[in-house]
Amino acid sequence: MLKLKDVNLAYGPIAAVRKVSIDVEAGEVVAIVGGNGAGKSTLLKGIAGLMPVSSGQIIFDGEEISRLAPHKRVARGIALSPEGRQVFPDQTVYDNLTLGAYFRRLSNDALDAEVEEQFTLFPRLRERRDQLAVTLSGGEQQMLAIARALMGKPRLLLLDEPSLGLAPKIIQEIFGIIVSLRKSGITILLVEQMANMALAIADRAYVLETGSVTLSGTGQQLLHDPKVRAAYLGISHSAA
Amino acid sequence: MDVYLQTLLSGLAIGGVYALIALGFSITFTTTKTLNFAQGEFIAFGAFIGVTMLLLFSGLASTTTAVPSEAASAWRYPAAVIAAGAVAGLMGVLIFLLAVRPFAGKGGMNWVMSTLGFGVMLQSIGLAVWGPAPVMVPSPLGDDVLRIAGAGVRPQELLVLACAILIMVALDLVMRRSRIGKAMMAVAHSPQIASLMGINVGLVMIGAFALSSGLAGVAGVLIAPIASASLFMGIGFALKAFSAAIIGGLNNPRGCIYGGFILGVLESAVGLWQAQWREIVVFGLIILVLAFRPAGLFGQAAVDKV
Repeated sequence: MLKLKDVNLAYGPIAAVRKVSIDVEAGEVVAIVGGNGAGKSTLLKGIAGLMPVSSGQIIFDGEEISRLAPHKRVARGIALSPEGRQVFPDQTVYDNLTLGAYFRRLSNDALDAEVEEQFTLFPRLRERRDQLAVTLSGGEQQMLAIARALMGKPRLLLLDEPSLGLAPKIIQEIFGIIVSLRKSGITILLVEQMANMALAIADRAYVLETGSVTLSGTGQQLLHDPKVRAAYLGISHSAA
Repeated sequence: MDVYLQTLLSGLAIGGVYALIALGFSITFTTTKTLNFAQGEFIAFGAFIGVTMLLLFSGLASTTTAVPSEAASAWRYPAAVIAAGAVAGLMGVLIFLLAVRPFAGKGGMNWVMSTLGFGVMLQSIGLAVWGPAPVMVPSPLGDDVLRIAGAGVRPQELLVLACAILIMVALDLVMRRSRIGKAMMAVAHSPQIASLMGINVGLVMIGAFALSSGLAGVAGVLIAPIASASLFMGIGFALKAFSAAIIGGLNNPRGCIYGGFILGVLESAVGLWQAQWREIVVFGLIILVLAFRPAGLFGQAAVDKV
């Protein structure tokens, strides 16, 4: 479904992602794990079109999209729930959700029906329907960011650090939702620093270090890989 | 007593014009983080396009220093207002594409110079087309002073005030209720995140410049019967409107509207007392406001939740 070929991304002269090639097949949950500053978020920005690729190809559904404007990639079915949630603080939960479906030009009734679908998935948001997004807790904002991305009816959902800054209980809840989304057939590319959580639910995963893919395999393989355990799961070789 | 009412009404009328233009500044600033420093010329162009339309609609020659009052009657004046708004709006699209987009979002202040330069070019073109002489413009409601509770009011002042309020209430509703308004708010918050909603951010920015410039054009035709149409009229209005936007808070459209009315009434009130102190008091106040409330009276410092 999504194929990256030798993608390079840079902030001015500073390379952030180097010759990354990854594949995401339809229906998969693919995780990208790695430390701080490894280039994970940059990679997602490149796929969503927020950053121009300096070289390489991004192919979605067999078509090259590397030069497409971000709003056109959304229309093709790629939605990003960005790092740090980035909900619209001065708009209500309901308005944030409808903005997620902005480009689909739905009737008000259809819009309400789809907002209702999101409320079924994220019941806490229903209680906050008419509150400004800025008044939500971090966990609620994360749910709103994911729900807003889902309002675009994406076929590929990009999730950037959904666990960032959240309490363990909320993280469990969010990952539970990701698992249920997978069951509904949506393809997910997940970027996470919480490697253990991400690898546990991922079909396949890539390890990104200083902008390059250093390891790849199934989620379970990487979860039990001694190098990964030492570097990202805080478990030393001897203990393993 | 009646003189105070008179002062208040004419202050509100001129304030309504400031408010319209200030709202225009706010619209481009919130969506593109740039300002159109040619706004003054858009006001003057608006007035002259209005004059040209009035003459054209009445089948009169286009070289004159006073538009006869029958030329502004019936449908002609409203049509001239709409035409001026539309032409100025198109010019706004041009200035965005030619003088703003190449520099917007790249840091630096190049857009300040390029919009100022665009304004200077517009003024030169205007002088070549319409000449330097001011043109008297009739009010569609005539020039007979109305008596309201003893206060003498020019009908055009009431018309300006009514139009300004009508336009601003309509825009406020559109911004807060409609999908396009919410999309504009999203772009104002973050163009990048807005683009993730599938919003064509470039198009919203073009629309913002068209709307902002259109408002300046409309303001020009509205004020022309009070101030006369002149290619040099714009700079004063634009500067006052910019000050109103700063007082109210550039990032708050409603604040800019309040700022416009506050400035208009204050100016009018100080003029009642000592006309020559008007500008000194007005700009003194602006400096005071900025010293104590850097984000303006109604501006808000951005709230971030991590």
